Amino acid sequence: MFSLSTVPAVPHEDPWHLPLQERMRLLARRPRAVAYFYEQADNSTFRYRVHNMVEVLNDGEGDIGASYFFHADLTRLEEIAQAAELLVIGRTRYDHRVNRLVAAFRRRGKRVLFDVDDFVFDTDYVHLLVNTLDLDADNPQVWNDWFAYLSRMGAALKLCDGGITTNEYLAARMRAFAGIPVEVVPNFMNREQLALSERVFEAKATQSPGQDGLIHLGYFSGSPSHNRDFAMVVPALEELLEEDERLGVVVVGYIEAGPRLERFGSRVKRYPFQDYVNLQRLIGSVEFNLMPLQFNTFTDCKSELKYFEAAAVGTLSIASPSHVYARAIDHGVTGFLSRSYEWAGVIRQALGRLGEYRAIAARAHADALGKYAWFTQRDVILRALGLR
Amino acid sequence: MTNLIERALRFQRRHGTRRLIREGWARVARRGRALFGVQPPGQETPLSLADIGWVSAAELAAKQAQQCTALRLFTSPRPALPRVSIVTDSINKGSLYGGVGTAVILGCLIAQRRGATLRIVTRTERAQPSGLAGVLATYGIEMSHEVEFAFAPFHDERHQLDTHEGELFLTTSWWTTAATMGSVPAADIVYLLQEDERMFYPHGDEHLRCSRVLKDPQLRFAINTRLLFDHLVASGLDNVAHHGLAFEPAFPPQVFQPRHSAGTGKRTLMFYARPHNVRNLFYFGLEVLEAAIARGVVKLDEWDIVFVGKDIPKIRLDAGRYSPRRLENLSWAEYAEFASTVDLALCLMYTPHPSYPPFDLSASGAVVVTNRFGNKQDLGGYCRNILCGDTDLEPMLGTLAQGVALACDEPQRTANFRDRRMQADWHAALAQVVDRFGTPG
Repeated sequence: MFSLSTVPAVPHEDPWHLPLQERMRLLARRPRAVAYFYEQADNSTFRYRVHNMVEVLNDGEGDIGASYFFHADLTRLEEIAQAAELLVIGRTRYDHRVNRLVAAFRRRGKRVLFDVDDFVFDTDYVHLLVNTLDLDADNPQVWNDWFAYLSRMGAALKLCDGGITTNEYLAARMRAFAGIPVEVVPNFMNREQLALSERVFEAKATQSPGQDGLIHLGYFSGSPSHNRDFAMVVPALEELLEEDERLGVVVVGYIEAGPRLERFGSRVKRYPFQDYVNLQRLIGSVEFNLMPLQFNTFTDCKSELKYFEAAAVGTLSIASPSHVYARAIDHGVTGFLSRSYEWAGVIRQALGRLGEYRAIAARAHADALGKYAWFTQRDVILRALGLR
Repeated sequence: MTNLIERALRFQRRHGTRRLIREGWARVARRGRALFGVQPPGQETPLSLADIGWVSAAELAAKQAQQCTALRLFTSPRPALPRVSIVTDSINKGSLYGGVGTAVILGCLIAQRRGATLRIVTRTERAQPSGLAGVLATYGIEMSHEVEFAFAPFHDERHQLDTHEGELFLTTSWWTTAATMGSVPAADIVYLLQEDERMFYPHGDEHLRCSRVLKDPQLRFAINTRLLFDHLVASGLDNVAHHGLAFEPAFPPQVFQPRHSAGTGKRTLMFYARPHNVRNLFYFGLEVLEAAIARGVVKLDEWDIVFVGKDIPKIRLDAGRYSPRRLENLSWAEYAEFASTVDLALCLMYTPHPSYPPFDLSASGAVVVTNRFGNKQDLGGYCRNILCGDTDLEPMLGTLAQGVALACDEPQRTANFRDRRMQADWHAALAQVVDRFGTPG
C-alpha cells in the first residue's frame, strides 16, 4: 500500500448547492447560455453530466455560459426558457413538468437535448437490468419501479431533438431507440477532483508499490448494484490471497467482501462510501484497481470513469474488456484487461510487472489527463451541444 | 444426523454462512408451521391436524428429479453477438477434464465457429473461472470473445438467466438436457452424450426419465466415440442415428506422453478405483488384483500398485499384507504427470463406452487392461496397448497376464504406442461436429 500521509483528507462539501438566484445569474452572465435540468442534485450522474459540464462552460472567457436547475426551480420555468439558448435534460424521468419545460423551449424555437449515462431508457431491457443488478425479482415493486423508470426515461428522451452520452456504444443504443442524433461527451474529472488527484500522484512519485510490505487490490463501488460484478473476481482473489501473503484486498462503498473472503481476516479491509474527492486518496493508496464487469448489453454501456479516476492518482487498473474499457485501456501499457476466466492469471501478470509499475502508472496518468480532465473538454462539449 | 450435518457443511461451503443461517431458519419455520398448523402471511386457510403429513404428488415427483428442474430463463433482445451456452453440473477442480473438459472444448469451438460468445452455466457448484484458462491454454484454443459464467442451482429458484432467440445450448447429461428442454425448444439444444446414461440406473423412474430424454426426436446429439454411437443406435435409438454425429476424442502429446518413473526399480500398476461409480467395477477389480497377486501374475517385488480415483477405502491386498498407494482427487496436471509414469493400468468400465482412462493411459505410453461390453470388443484400433478382457475372473486374469507381459516388452510396447491411431488435436477431432452444429439454422 502507498503512504499518503503528506496528502491529508480534505474537508469536502458538495459545491453545487447554490441558491436559485445565483444559478439564474449564471444563466444571464453571458450572451449565450445553456440550461441544464436534472431532477435533484446527487453525487453521481448529476456531478458528471451536469455540474462538471457547467463548470467547464463557465470557465475562463467566452460568450457561452451555463447553469443548472431542478424540479423545485420550475416556478421560474419561463424565465429560464427565455434566458437560455438551449436546454439539456440530464437523466430525468418524464412527467408533466418535463413536458412543460420542453414545450417552453420549443415555443421559442429553441433546441432540447437529452443526456444520459446509462442504458436506462428501453423497457425491452428491464429484465436484463434487474438481473444484472441482482435485484429481488420476487418483489413486484422492483418491476413497477424499473418499468416505470425506464419507460419514463425513454419518453423524456423521445421528446428531445438530440442526445448526448458518454460513449459510442450507448450512443448507438440511443439513436436506435429514439431515432435522434446523438453525440458523445465522455465523463471527466472536475477541477477539485483533479487537484487532489495530482497531489496524490506526486506523493507517490518516490514510492514503490507495496512499500509497507503489502500489495492491495481495491474494489471501489459507487452504488450497491455491483454484487455480481464483484462476484466475478472473488474466486481469483481467494486463490491469490491463499498463494501470496503479500496481498491484501480493499473493498470500498456499498458492497461487502462476502463470506468467502472473510476468512482472510485483516488482509481484507472494508471502507464505507467516500465523498468523491477523498475517494481519490483511497484509490491512490492501493496498487491495483479492479474493475470486473458482467458481460452484456447493459454493462457494455458503462463509461470508463473508474479507469481514469485510478489513472489520475497513479493506480493501475485491471478491467473486464467491456466495450469502453477495451478501448480506454491499452493492455500492459496503461493498465490491464482481463476476461472473466483470466483474473487470477492477469493479476499475477500485473504483480510480475511491479518493476514497471511507475512507468505504466505514468502513462496511464498522462492518458487520463489528456482525455478525461476538465480542461480538455470545452470544445468537445460545445460541439456536442451544436454550439461550435 | 451425520447426513444432515454433511449437507449443511456442503451448503455452507457453497453459499456462505449467512445463506446457511437464513436457509436453516426458513426450514425451522416451515417445520414449525407444518407442526402447529400456522400459515405464512397471505395463506388464509389454516391446516387442520388431518392435513399434516400429506405431501403434494407433484412436489414429491419433482423432488425425486430435482436435478431436472427447468432453467429459469427470460428472453432478452438479441445482443450484437449470438451466444452458445454450455449447461453442466460443475467445471471445478476434479471435474474440468475428462467428459466435462470435452464439453468445454466443444462449446468453445462451436462458439468460435458461430462467431458467438460463450456462457458456462453450472448447476451444482459456482464455477471457478480460472480453470477455463488452463483448459484453453492446454489445448491451444483461442477465444475471440468474453466468456460468461452463470450459476443456476436447481435448489435456488431465484436464479435467472437471459436468453435470446437462436441461442444454442450444449447440454452434458440427460438431466441438464431435461432442465434445458424445460425452458427452450429441443431443436435449440445439442446434447453431448458420452455414456449410455441409462446404465447409470436400475430399471426404475430415473431410468425411465433418462430414456425419455434420449428418445426425444427433436434433440441433436454429439456422441463421444463411434462405439457408443453404434451401441445407442443398435439399442433402438433411431433418433440418434438421424440427429447424431459421432467423434473420437483427442489426446494432445503436450499433455499425454510417456515419462520416466521416479525409479524405485519396480514397475507401476495403476488401478482406476472409484467405488461409488458402479460402472467402474471396483469390486471385480479388487477380485482380479487379489487373484493376480496370489497366482504370481503380478509379483509385488516387481510391481508397485497404485489406486487412483475417489473415495477409495483403506484396502490391503495380498491377504492383508500389502497396502497399495492411494491417489485421490488429483488435479489434471498431477493426473497427467502420474499417468505418464504408469506401465500397466487396470481400468474397468462396465458400459460400451471406452471411457477416458484407457485412452489417457495408453496415450501416455502405458499398457491398459479394460473389459469387453456389448459392441466394445476390441480397442486395438485406437492402440494395440489397450487389451480387452471378458468380465469373468479367469479370462480377465488371462488378459492381465498379457498386459503384464506387454508392459515388460519395451520394444513391442513402444512400437504399439508409436502406431496408435488416436487423435492428437481437438480441432481436428471435433471438426465435423463443429461444422454440423456450429452453423446456425
